[in-house]
Amino acid sequence: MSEKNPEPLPPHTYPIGIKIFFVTIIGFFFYALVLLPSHLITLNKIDQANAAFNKKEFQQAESLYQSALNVAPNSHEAIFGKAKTLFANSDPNDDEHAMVLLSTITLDEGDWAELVQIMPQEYQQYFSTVEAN
Amino acid sequence: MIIIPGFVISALTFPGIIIHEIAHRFFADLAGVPVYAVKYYQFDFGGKAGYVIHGQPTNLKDSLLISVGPLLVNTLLCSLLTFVAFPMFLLSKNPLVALPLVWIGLSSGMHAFPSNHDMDVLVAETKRLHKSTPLNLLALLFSWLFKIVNLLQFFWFDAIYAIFVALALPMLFRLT
Repeated sequence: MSEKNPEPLPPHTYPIGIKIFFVTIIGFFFYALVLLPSHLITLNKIDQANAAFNKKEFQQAESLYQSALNVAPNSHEAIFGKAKTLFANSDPNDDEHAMVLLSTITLDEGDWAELVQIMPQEYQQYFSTVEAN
Repeated sequence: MIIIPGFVISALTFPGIIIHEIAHRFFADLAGVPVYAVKYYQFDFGGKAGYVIHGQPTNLKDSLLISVGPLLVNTLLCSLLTFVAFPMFLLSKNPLVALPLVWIGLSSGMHAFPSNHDMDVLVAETKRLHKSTPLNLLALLFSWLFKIVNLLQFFWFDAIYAIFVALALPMLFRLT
């Protein structure tokens, strides 16, 4: 080996392409790392909100879902959870707000099965089935 | 079972190969072993996608370090990159922003295992030393273990390992 290549490469020297590759990975990593704490806190809030919803503590659940949505406004789970909570509480004035929230997401079969149990009948006509390609 | 040619898998997961070879190179440099040539990645039908040609390590510890280094680095990167990407997938409107992290992370995990050639070098070193020290036995055990693991790659064991490593931290933090 050393007979074919008598000159060793200088240690810890890497081609520019490898350096760019490495810096790109580190860049991606730190970008995600900076977001990680707030994301973990948000996921924890959604967990707590789900638990509060299951215990029928709807005010608490709504507040926690909203605080998750303040950080991650596009979170499917938080939007769906808040909409469910608004339907499940006893205030019919919240139903329209729940419908507005649901208009921003696509529901799967599991979501729909959960929703029809708490959504008033009159709103169910506004949903249609879409076929996946 | 799906059979895909190795060079296609290598091309799709080339970041993992580059990381593997960087780790080899880094640990060889760290051990003071001369490095004569490095190919971080090459598209080669049936050939080696990457390699590091280095001199003979002076002791078994260095030899083990150079062989095991990529396993540690690739596994660590797989775990960390996919872990930081996981909440992005769950919370972002467009989960594709996390895709580069997941792709590089899983690629890294898939190329964590030392190659058979790495293991042959390690076995040669243990034979050269003619010693029955615990480190020598560990090196032999390690080499046979990874020769078996490399056989299992035919059954996608490398991909299964990468997915397992990627899910380990999220499961620990109860994100799944």
